[in-house]
Amino acid sequence: MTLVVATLLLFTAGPFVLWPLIKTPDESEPPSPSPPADIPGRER
Amino acid sequence: MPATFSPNARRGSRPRLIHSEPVILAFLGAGALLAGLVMAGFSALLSFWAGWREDGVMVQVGRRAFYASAVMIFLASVVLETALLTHDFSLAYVTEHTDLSTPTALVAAAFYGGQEGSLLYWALLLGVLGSASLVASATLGRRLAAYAAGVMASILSFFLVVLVLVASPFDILAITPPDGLGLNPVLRDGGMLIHPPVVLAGFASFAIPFSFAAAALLAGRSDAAWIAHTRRFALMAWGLQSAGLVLGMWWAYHVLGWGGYWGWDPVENVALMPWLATTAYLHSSQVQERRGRLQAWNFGLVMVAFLLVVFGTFIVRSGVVPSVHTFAVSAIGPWFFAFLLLCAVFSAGLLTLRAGGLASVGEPAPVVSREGALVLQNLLLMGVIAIVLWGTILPLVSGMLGQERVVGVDYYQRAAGPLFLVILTVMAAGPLLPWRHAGAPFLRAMRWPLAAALVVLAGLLSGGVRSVPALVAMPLVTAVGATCIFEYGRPLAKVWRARRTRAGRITGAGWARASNLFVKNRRRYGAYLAHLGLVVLVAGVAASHFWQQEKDVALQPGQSVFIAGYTLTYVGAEERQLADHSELVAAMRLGGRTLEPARATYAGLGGQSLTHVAITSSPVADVYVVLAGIGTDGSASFRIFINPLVSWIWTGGAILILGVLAGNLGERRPAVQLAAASLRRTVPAA
Repeated sequence: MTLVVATLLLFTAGPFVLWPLIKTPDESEPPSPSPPADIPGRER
Repeated sequence: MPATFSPNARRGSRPRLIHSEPVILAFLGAGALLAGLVMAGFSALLSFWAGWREDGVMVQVGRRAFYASAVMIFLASVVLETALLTHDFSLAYVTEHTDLSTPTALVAAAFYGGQEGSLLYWALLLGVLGSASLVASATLGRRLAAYAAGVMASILSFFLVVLVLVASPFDILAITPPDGLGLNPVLRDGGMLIHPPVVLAGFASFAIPFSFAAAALLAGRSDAAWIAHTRRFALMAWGLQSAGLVLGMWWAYHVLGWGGYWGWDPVENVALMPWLATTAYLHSSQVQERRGRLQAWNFGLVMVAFLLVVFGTFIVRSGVVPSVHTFAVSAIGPWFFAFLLLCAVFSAGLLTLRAGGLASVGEPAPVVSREGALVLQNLLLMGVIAIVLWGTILPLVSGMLGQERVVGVDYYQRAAGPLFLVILTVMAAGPLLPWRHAGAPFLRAMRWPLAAALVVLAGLLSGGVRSVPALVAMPLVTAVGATCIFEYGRPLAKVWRARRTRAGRITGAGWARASNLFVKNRRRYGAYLAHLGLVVLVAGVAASHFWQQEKDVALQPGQSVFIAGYTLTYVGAEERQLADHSELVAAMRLGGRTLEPARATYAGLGGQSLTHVAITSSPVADVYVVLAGIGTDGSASFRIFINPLVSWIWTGGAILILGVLAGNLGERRPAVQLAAASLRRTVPAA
């Protein structure tokens, strides 16, 4: 029974874990923008 | 129902038969742990492989497997908590650690009150904190992030192997009893709700800096990016461990009834050692961040801190060394010993392998400089760790060599005491030292701590104090406090000087400038606040150590005793019946207050009894009364302690934590950005 439960849980988690392999290039996250450059004298 | 694969099918100590009725919770919990183990193992293997290949997609999959493992552990934790709160006595863990009379809050706390549950709690924290540290780790570079996930998942896998194979909290009893055995009386206290979870959280969080340090070495990266990334986690580990140590002292003081709060018990020692190592690391890492030196030392310190945590767990869980924490003994000691050996070999091998690339570049700073003070402080802390470690393992080592030897409190005080005094000296002078050459400004600044120390010394001498340790310790404590206050005074002095030069009053802009300085340098001023908290704490420890008074008395009702300026009058005794125990209470009058020391007896737990201490606390001293017994003639025996400045210990601990929080919450430039900036300045190794 424990094995069955574990297998079901692993099956459920599958899409989340394998998502980087499943997603198509169109669905890839856009590259994160580089942090804005510090402007001397300006307080952030 | 025939015997099948079940949560308890591997254990030898409990009945093997399975219930006829479904035990859904047990199977769900055990299944979640097994799934968590598979996910963690998969994450470990894949992350190492993906890191080696620098395969970005597989690195992400490995990281997601770690998150999934954390979710499985969370599910198992929810299942265990549900079983506890619903009094599901079909689970051996629920039966062994709760009963129907246990208050609900303590039933919930039984989650970490036993061996198996505390391991699950540890794994849960490792999963959650590890996930938090991995979320932003991509900025460190693919390889380092992957290796960090791999190391962390390996550690998590070890805990899950133990939870699945050796110490499962989901074992089922053959017959469900109508009631449980209940929680150990010592654990039936408010301290149970806060001390163990904080200490265990501190222990678990040490794995994060270790994982990133090991990953940096594996990836051939000796820059400070891993330090910046894990700084908050190292501080969190240190802050939690600080809080855990102080809470443990508070609990021992209020519950154990021996008048003290620190007994140099092996379990206390093994909690202190990683704290000392992390204290050293938090200071020495500044040298690497500021001057690019001590790389190997910092790697070593983080690894030593984690190894000490594993060593401590081995000591606490195995019972190889006699300790007051015997309720936590079990058969998992050999597993932790093997894990300790594995971690030690891995760490030592990694450091040896990368030693060539860790040599410091640049000239060392002069001895009398901030860097010199930090190095000296590190060496002193290492000395204290060595003393405590030897004192802790001496019974084990000497027992293997022939006759078992045990050291007492005296050993620790005589061996570590002088080192602590030198550390206080370094704390007084270190913050005033510049990073490079110390000159006249340093000597001018030293006037204040020196003057404060001399005033206190003169006060003590005129008060008749002749104890040399007290005459050294108390002025040094004052000097450290004066240094912290001096550092806080600098920005305010700038505002004051600006007022004088403009011959006007202090403007709002002036105050804004001063507060801006504090906010901009919050890390620095938070550290000084933590120093101040430590000083208050040490003052409490020193005063209660040097000037504690103790008296044993037997009194008839109406009789009084006089001790250290306090007059206590015994009024009489009565018996009270409470929900889960009975109490024999002796009332004592102290001024307008009534103290009620008692002896509690738990009939449901085989008549186990426990003393309930009565304490009245003030900023000057605690009056601490323990009821030793009540005679047939109506007389009562008491042990009375007068403990000076004990409340300072708890206050100092709170200030210390406040300093950690104030110095790190809401940092304008978070650690991740610092790491990224550091990364841009370095060239990753191939």
